[in-house]
Amino acid sequence: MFKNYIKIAFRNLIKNKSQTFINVGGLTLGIICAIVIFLIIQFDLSFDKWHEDPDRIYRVVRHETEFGKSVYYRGGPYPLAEAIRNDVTGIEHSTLVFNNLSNEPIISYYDNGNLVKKLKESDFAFVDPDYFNIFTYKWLSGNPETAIKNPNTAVVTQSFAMKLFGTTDVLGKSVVFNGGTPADIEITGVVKDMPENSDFPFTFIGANSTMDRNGETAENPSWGSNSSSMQTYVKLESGITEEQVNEQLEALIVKYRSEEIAAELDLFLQPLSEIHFDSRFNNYNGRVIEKNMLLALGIIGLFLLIAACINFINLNTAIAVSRSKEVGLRKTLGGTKSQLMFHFFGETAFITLIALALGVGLSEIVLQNISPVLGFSPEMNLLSNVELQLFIISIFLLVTLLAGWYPAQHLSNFNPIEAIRNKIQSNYGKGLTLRRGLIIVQFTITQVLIICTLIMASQIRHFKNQDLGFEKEAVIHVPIQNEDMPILNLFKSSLLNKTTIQNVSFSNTGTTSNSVWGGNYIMIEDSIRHENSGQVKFIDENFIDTYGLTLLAGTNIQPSDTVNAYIVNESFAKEVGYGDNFSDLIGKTTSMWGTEAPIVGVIKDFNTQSLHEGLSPVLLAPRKSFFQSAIKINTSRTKEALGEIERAFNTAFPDLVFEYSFLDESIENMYEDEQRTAKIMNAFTLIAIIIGSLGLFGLVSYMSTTRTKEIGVRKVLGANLLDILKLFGTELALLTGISFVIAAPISWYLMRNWLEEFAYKIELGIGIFLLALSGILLISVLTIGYKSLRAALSNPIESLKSE
Amino acid sequence: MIKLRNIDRYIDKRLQRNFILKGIDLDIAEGDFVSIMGPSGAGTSTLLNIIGFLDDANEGEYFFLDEPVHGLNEKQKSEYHRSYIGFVFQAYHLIDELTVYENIEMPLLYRKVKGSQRKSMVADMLDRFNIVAKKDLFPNQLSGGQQQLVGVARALIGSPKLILADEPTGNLHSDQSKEIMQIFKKLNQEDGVTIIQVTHSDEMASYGDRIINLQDGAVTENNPYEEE
Repeated sequence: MFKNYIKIAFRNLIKNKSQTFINVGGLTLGIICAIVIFLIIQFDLSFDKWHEDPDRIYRVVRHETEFGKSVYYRGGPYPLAEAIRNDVTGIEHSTLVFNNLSNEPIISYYDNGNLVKKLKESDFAFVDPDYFNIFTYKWLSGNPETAIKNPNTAVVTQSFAMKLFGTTDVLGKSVVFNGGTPADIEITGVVKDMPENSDFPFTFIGANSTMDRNGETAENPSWGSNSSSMQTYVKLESGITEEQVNEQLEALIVKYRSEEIAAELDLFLQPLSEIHFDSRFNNYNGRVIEKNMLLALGIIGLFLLIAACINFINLNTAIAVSRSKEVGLRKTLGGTKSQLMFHFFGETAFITLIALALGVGLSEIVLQNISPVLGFSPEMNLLSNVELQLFIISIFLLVTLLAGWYPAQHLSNFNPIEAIRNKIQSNYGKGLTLRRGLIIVQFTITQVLIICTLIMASQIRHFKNQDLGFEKEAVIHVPIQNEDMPILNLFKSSLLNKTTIQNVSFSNTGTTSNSVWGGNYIMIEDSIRHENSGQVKFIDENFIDTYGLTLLAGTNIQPSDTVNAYIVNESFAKEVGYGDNFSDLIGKTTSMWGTEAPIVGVIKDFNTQSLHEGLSPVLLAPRKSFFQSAIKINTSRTKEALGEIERAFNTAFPDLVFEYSFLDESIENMYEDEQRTAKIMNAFTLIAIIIGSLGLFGLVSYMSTTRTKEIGVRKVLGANLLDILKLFGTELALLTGISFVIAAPISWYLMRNWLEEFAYKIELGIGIFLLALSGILLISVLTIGYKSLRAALSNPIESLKSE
Repeated sequence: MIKLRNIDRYIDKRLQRNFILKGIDLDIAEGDFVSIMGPSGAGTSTLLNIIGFLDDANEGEYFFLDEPVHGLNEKQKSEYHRSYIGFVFQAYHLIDELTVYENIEMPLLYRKVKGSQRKSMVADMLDRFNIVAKKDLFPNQLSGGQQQLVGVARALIGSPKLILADEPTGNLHSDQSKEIMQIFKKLNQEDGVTIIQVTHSDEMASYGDRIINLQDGAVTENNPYEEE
């Protein structure tokens, strides 16, 4: 019996090749999307789940109220980890993790007494010995209990050891951290690399006591100073709740700071399981994905799958008419309704299986190629991934049920005599038939995706075209260390000698960076005190020229090693109540970080961060605190200039590693997340369009065959080409219109939420919606055009003869 | 075997009721070979469909083997189709996607006959109709007469007690028609299968032992020849 079903199914597939292609092709596309999205979601949900007792691990995070605004920080004060260890009950382990992402240290090692092979490594951390009691590592050598008990020791990962030494047998070897460290660091342990699904991708984990010795934390040793480079992680004793600890953390602030501060500052626990998903705080992986985004992704996957099923249902019910004879016959031969339903389900299941097999195979290929877009590489592991196996089985059941139920039900319900006599009409009824409803659903899905994609693309274009208030072209950033002035001057003067170089400037962060130096500025005037948060940039006298900033009033700063003057921006002038009267501000005194100095100039606003953020008051001041050099070059000779910069760099800073980036490119990279999302959306939209077009094409080609006679009669009665095309076109236009009316508000709502993240955003005008509508109309016309034209052009004699 | 009492079949069209069959009383005994005759539109096919449970009467009673058919649900009807009734159609109605062998085999599948038994039953049938050589061909590779042979073989494979044939020879030329009628006659006489056929041809009707004439949905003559 079953063999018979398969046989018939197979022969039918071969017979209706285009239908098979549409069914299997569309379904395969839908399944690929579903599987890939499943794996992405699975990957993101698996972050740091494998540590021992993951539900007892927490990060201590901070919430503050600053000038009436609620702000969340991941960093805490330096002494916090130890204070928790000493004063808080219910804590099993506690550790500080020091990592300064914006400052990549240079690591070198000794070979026969010579210092060689320097490399930059941003994935470093300095931690307390308890770190290894909180996070689970697989040890290849060394003792977890004692490895980083002593200062100047470090544990490295397998791949780090291989990169630096070419072997994992590195116990007892020494490395030099950042060139300037007084002491060498001894490697006391080697661990396996963290899996890709970890937010703790450290490759070099040093003893925190080293940092004390090296004075790296002398900058911020106190309770009063918080930095995101210093985070605190704890493991609770079992049975202890978050609340019990949070209460004690509040008491810590009172104890070590004051009641007033405790009123504005909260320390609280963030579960390890939230670290990958809570965008209020970042993580060491640099990629936080909101659970809402995962949900949205899942919904897109489900919708694409549904869109593919809709093709299936529509095409199969349409084609059912031509199979009515078979149905009627089987009934007269004693087939019951349930047997027939089973039969048609079997056929659907068979097609689904083929599509599944293709989909699984192709997903593997897709996965191998999308990691550059995603930024990570989820793996399939079909044989060991039980969740995936269950998912595939549920796709099979879901698709078979969704796509098979209605056609099976519809076909098996045929009245046998009418069916045998081919009296079943394709229920080409008026009003909202199931088929029309399904097409509207499908079109709506496609249109929502098209509109969202268009809006994303225009938002990204908006970013790229936004005037940032400075010249981003032809500026090369070369990171440097805060070396002594003579060395910096040597570098600068050797560059300025070259004809390819126009200007050179040193500063802490350049004009625009993810790294923000800021604090509260204070300006007291006529006993009115202005205090607000602002940003500070430490610059040299070439800064304004190199970046092409516009001085609105006053003068440039004079060279100085310490702050002796401030240039402020327009926003600052507005915040302190000067509006546009910039020149009145010259000579007034302000202070930042405790240093008071006169304002010598006012500068036009420029964007110091990505365009997610708006403008804020900025103070520019001379001070030797230089980590970024900006070199303005002659664009016609870029290659030559780069060579000269590298040579000058290596002469001036023999201990540093030369790296460079073009300012305009690094600014574009700030929108990597958006561009990535846009790319993924593009792909899904394209797939939705393909699935939709396939279905439409199938339906129209079917309609044109079933209505051949009607068209023939109409032509004989004098209908022209246009009349016939209208026959196909009006309904389609109507369905597109209805689905647009549904899709437009949905996408408007979704995109308004998405755009809310950006300080600089496009207006959601009607234009973009109309563009999407005309897009889908064009696609539909192209899809159905050929078939309907052919039907319209066919000779009526031919079509009428066959009846 | 078949007892029809006061069967009405009609279609309501707004104010008018169009009768296809009206007041049909008919008794057919087991072993009869009945020919239903009548002009197009007289209701011959509808009567056959009602007898074959493919259509329901609007009024009246129908007893098949003393069971009231009007009370059967669809599943029970399928059960009767499998066990008692074989259909032969004017247009053969073979399934185009199946070979001759598979077409004949199909009723057995619905009857859940075991594989080995199925094989021998189909082989018998192929043998009986001399179409062994054609068993792997598809219907469109056969002539009309051959297709009808397959159709008859398919109707017979379930050894039905009743064969309903709606103009079985309507699409065939006279030699092929005669061959099919001979088979029916033989079945009727040797195996005692009840046969009811609809035909427009007096010659074909004469193979039967009883003729029922329909005119405008009513039986006008029952056994016109017997009385002569």
